[in-house]
Amino acid sequence: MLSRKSKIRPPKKNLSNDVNFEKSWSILSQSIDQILNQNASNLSFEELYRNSYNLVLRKFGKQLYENVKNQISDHLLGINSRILLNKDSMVKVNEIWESHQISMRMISDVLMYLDRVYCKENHLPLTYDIGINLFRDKIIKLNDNKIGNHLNYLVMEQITLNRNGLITDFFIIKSILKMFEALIEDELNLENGENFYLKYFEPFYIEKTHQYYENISLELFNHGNGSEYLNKVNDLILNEENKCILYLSSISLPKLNDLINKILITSKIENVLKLSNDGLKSWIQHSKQDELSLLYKLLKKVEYFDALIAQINEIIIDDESLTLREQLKQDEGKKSKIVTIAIDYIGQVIKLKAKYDTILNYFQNDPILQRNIENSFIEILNSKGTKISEYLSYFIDEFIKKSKERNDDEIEEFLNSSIIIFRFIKDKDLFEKFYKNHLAKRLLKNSNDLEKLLISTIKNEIGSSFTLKLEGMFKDMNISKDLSAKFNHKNFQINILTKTFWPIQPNPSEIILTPVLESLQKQFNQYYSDLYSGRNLSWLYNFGTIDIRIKFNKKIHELNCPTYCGIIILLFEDIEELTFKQIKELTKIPNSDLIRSLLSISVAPRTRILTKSPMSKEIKDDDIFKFNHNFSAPMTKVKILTVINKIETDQERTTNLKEIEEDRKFEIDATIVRIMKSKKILSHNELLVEIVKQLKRFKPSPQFIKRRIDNLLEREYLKRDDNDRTTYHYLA
Amino acid sequence: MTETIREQALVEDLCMACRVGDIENVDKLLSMGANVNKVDKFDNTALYLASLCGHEPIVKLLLQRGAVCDTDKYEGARCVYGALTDKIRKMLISYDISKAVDTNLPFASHFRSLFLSRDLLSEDLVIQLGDNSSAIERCHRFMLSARNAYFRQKLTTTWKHANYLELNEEFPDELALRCIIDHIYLIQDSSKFGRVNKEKLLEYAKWFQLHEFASEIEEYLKISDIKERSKFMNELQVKVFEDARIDFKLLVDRGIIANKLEMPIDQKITVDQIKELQYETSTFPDIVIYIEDEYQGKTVYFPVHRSVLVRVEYFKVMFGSSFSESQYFEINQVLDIVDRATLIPVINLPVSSIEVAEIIIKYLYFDHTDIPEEFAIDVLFAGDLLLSDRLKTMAAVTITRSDQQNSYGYDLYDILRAGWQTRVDRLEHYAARLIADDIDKFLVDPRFREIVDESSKRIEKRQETDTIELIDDIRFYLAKKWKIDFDGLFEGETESADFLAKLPGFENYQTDLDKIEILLEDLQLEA
Repeated sequence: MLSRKSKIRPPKKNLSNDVNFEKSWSILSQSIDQILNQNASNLSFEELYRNSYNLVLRKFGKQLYENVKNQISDHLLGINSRILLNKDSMVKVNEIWESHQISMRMISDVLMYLDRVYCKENHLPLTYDIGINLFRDKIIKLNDNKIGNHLNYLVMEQITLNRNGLITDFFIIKSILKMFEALIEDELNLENGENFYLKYFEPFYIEKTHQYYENISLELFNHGNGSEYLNKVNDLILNEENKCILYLSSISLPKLNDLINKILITSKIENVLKLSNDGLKSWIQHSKQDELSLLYKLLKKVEYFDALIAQINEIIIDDESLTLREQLKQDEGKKSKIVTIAIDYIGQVIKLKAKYDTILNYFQNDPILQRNIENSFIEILNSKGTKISEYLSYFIDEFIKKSKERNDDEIEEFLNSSIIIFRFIKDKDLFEKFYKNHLAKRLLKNSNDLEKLLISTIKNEIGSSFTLKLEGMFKDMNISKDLSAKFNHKNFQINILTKTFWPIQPNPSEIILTPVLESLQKQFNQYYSDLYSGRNLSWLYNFGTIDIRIKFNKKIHELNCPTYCGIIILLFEDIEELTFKQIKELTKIPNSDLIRSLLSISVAPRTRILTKSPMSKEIKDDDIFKFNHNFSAPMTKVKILTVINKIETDQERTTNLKEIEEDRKFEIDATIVRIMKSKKILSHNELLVEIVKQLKRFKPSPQFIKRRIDNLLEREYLKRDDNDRTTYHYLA
Repeated sequence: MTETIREQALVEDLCMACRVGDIENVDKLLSMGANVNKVDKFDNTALYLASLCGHEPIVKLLLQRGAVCDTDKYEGARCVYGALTDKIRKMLISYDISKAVDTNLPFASHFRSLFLSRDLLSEDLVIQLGDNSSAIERCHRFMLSARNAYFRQKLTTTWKHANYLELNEEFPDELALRCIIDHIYLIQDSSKFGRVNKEKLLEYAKWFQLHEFASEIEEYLKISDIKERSKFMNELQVKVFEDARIDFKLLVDRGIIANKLEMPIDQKITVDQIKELQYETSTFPDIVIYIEDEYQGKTVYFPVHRSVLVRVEYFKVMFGSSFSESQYFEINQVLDIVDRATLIPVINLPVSSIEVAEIIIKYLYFDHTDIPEEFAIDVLFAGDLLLSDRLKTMAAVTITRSDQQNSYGYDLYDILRAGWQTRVDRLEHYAARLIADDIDKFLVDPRFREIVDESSKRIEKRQETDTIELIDDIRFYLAKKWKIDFDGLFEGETESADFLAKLPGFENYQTDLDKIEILLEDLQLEA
């Protein structure tokens, strides 16, 4: 070792230029040939690598590169000429492809130094990639894509056979498609370049698939059976989804799924739903879970609900015309039974709603469909004008009056149904009106816990502003109870009602009370004005009752009667008989009330406290009334009811509507002023939008709003813009 | 296999728990044996995720359970930079165990990876570590023998023909036994080490005559402070690496070089000679490489190991490809190991001399990078041929160590050409600097003119605007030589030009540049 250090050896071996290209290349060429012919296991990596290394080191890189390229090219051309275009081409080409890949891996291993140095410095494709590109150009795409097209055709044929139920070798298809994917089309843009698969196979595949499913779906549709269509389509899609992952590239999966979904579902479903004997209508009528669930599943896949929504809307409206409208006709026929009709109608609506709830359940309670179905309900229910509000109020009234007989479940159900229908009502102010009247009457008779429960349910639904006045009524009742207790008169109980909360107007005419009652009234008036100075009390006799103990011939009875009746009866304490005219003068009770009261206590069969002559249902001025000492009844306590005047109930309805219109005017006016005060200037349309947004209790028509705006213009709350007539300014 | 899947699943769970901040789950998963330092499928460690997401208590827990935050390494630095709060950052730094320590010695990580990945099937022994039939590990005899005297003694005697060792009977504590094997393979798995019964491990270490390791464990047991323990563990790891370096140096010196077979250049090695190399030493080679040294007229055979040769790309591809070199080995299909009964192959190492071969062997086995200057050029080309950039760089470092050319007889032009051929910039710059330093001498040397011309031809289809790389480099070093600093000056600005012109060396610099211009005109080159 030491001796060697003194005589340094120049690095001759590696720096000399004594490489014979032809000699080295012939060794390499021969070996590459062996490799390409799968006969390479005896070759020495070391020898081949060293040869290629030396050539590259000696600047023969370019020659080596070109020679290798030509040799592989010639080899592939030779193979190409031996490939026959027949059924077995797929297997054959796949074999060639597999062994070519192995050969290319070996060649590129040997030429590793060429890749690392020459290719890198000159920005050329690596040896392996050259081999793949040559396979593309010399095998697959040679002569106008001859083999490539043939393979496309074979693959598609196999897939179509499989779709028709035959067994297919998907492994070979997958291998061929993977090969297509490996064949890059754009060599300069390797990263995001197109490949043979994307350029030639996929479009062909998509087109053929389109044709196939278009034909199948048309054929299926022509069977005219909706259930069959849904089931078959579902099977087809499942089948295709399961199969295509066995062979198709993951890039094409979404495209394929979109395609078949579009052909089988989106484009056909509208007509399928319309099928008359087995379509949406029949499924809904019979609440068919399987069909409806499947329908939803399919539509959800494509997120396409328009056709379904449109048709459901139609069906709901039709459904209504079959069941509910008949009820309405009856309604017109027999006016007397409004309560019955109301209950019936509401019952029908609830039933219908329940049915669609079940259907919605089959639709996975999809929020979009739910909203649309509810809108359909709103549409049909409100198309009947004010009736729905009235019916609901009657329905509630009836239920609450009889609620003592109901159990908790029924009450729960009642509350739910009430609130559902309440939700559907567009003009909630109208409902409020009806409801308030009913509530007032109920409250004055006797209070019920259910009332408060319902109010709080409504409050939860729409907010406290709606129930403010209603709650005021309850408050009045509570205060009155305390007040009566404080006033401490054992025979006297009073309800003090705040005028603005209650739907009752004070009676303008004063009547003459009997001395006992009059003193009591004076006493209370005094007490109240001491308690709250500045408050005025108006007495509403026709809502009160009087209890009178009378000793009749047979028995002592305790009569519970309306105030007017009581006053009349008390007249007979001293006098035996009076004419109608006399009673009228002595009491000054308004004519209609007087007639009604007299009918109650002289004509009504079980409560004839007075006798009337002549005995008829009509009352004339000169009719004579006498106290009936012989009155008898099975119970000690007798309740006298006022005869209801039907004509008046009708009148009440019309006044209600008028009042509502007045209320609405105020509310719209207030809203407009409020909006304009904050915005100062707004165009007509902007103002409309704002108004509709702010009004929750009812939906006024644009014409109605326009009239209110005109009115406000007249009253100079607003003025039109000088230049733009459709713009308004707020005037302070 | 299912065990690995389970372990990785635990790691994934652990990392997810660290993202979401579920400290109880982290605690549970760690107790179930999730490896705290493994990465999930997004290459994140639990510690990084917990730090990034700002889960301070989890960070603390992870660190206590053995998560390593080494700020000198990528993962640790990533933790510190990613930490959401200063508090976490401080905590991470306080647990940082290895400032200024290189735990990533290339040879050590290669040996570790031999055990952890199976790119090349080169194991020749199966060891049963636990009672479960899946608790086996495939190992390399040469590794066990080189690293451990007990194994060396056994493998050359009792276990000489064994393929399958049931160590679990003699050593029932599987985890402790695994720690021993890990230690041999230079793997330091702190979570395993944390869980293992230290007394058992100590007992086994003594049994296996791992005396250093045993005393380290004893030392470790005396430390109670967590931070000190971590530091100690790190120091231990470094010690283990250094011990290993000595072990492999011994393997090379006594097992490979001492056993080398020298033959006259025309004489072939016989089968009996190969068998002798294969079986009669504690080297346990699986391949023989030979070098034909024409200068000395000898062929020399070294018994070596494929799993070490694959550190360079050349052998990796050779053994991974399907040429004859990879065909010799019979696989024991049952145990999935290499069958030792097959005669090992003899292949050529295409380098020029015995000395170069030995340098390369030493480099591969224990990162021996001290390359004598007289062989540096040969090693450079060997590195180029074997496709090892690191080896090339090591050789180039040796070549460029001296500021005087020709100190070992290399011609500066040859060095430059070698630099061009092997694409080592360092050599080109070295040559340009030496030429600039002595420019007048070179300007009159006709060989300098030749090489300038050569440099100009290195660019194919040269345009007139293209520069000559060598000339550019020389100009650059001239500026350095005359201390003309262009940094911070803008081209074309008169002020800058004026400033430069006032520098003391500017005139000399300009003179040298003019001389080069004259030379280029002479050569009819533009640059």
